[in-house]
Amino acid sequence: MRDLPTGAALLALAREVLVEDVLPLLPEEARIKTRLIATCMAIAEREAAIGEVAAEEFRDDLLAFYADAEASFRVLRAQRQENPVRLRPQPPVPEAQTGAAEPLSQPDSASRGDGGKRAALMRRFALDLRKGSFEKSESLDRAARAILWRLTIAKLREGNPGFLAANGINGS
Amino acid sequence: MGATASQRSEASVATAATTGTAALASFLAQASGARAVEIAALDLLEGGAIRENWGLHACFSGGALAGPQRLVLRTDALTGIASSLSRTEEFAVLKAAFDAGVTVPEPLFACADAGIIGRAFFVMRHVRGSAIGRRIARNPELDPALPGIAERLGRELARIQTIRPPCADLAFLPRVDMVAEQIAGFRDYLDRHPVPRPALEWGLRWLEANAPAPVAPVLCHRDFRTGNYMLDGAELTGILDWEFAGWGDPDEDIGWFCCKGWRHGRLDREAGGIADRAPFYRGYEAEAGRSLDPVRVRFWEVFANLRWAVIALQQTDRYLRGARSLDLAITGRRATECELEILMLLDRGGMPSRA
Repeated sequence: MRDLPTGAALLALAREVLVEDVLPLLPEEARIKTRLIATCMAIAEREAAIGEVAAEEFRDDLLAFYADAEASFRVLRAQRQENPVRLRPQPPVPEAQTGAAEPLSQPDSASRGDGGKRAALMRRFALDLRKGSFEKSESLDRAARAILWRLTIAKLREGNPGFLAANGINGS
Repeated sequence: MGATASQRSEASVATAATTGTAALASFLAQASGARAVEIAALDLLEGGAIRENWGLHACFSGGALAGPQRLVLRTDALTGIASSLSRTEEFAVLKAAFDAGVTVPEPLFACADAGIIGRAFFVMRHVRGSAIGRRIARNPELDPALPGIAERLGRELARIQTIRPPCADLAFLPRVDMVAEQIAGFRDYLDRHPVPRPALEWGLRWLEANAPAPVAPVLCHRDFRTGNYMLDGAELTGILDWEFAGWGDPDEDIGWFCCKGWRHGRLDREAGGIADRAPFYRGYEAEAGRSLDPVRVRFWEVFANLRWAVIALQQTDRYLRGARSLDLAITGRRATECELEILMLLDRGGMPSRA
């Protein structure tokens, strides 16, 4: 059992004192650096408060997404064998430039630990986006973009919520 | 690509130790045809994480610059990123821009000999004013003048683009208009980056599928933005930092200038944080004699976000490799701002209304 206030509360208080009490006393050059220090402290505070929750949510999101994606690809393959003419969903980019739908990359079963497995899953997602693997299915493509939005917003909630707010997105 | 105080102070100590002012005075005398040169002051100026700019007060006895002169010496910082030009190459680009009538500090002398101050350098005339982007974009007193400045910058950019290959003095400049090669370079970097960046991958895929037809290349500044031009009050006194120049697509600099990352907190003013696009475009179109195509500009704006994201990550790589700098450590976080902007540019309809 640790003493109170918590480390997170101490960090928040230290940042407040730095910005409100110390910064006004400093020359301009030192103020720039001090604001940068306060920014780093704020990021550390927010990351500590959010912990691993967001990362775990994204792992679950991606696992569910890939379950759907693999099912969709099985259906697509079956349909292709039965009737290739039906396999013409609307591509979001010109087909001549993107080529045929790429198969999904294989899951990485060698990674160890929660962090390693999450990173491997994210790498797989990134690689499949590079290949355009989801572009032949409108629903998969939309679901992939929705994950990108959530992922990006979650990172900015930790890193720069002010930028989210400035873009009309709730940063809290 | 702004410098931090710590970067500057670390660099200041290192360079001061290696600067031989006597050797520099001798070089300046020889280059200008003076009998002698006395250096009164040599002070590191703010700005430029990759290059150092030194304010140089010198008195020339005779020669082309006879009398007291206020100059700037530009040289390499201790660490840099791989894609930029050497100082003597940058001098040649600056000279070409000066000769084409672009508002730049007059380039005077270049020195490739590392024996004078420890590194290659060049010397240009000092120009008055400040280039600090945040102060330009957020100074209410400047507001009435900013649309006019944006229009002037559009004209200046068009003038830069009158410099076209082949150009014997600039034969060293790289071709940077091959979109497929640029994308391959970004992907190669991401392959070596420890953290997967799915949003950047998605953006690169879009670039690959939507690259515009190539057009004749022009001189591209490649860092033409608020923060890289000097204003003295409301007067444009010089366009700076030519180290990333190359032969590129004429719309690349338009996209870079308007990219959200360079609006210095004034996201509403899409032309460099200083004005609407209209005056900037108007100045450019009047001088260039061509109309901008919004589809092409959008492509290069997406490209700008991807390029800036990769550069931001590379800056933080320098910290991860041992450079002790808070600014470098935190710059990589800006890549996520670029990712949000890529999504906003390409998937506006997917933006969560109440995220």
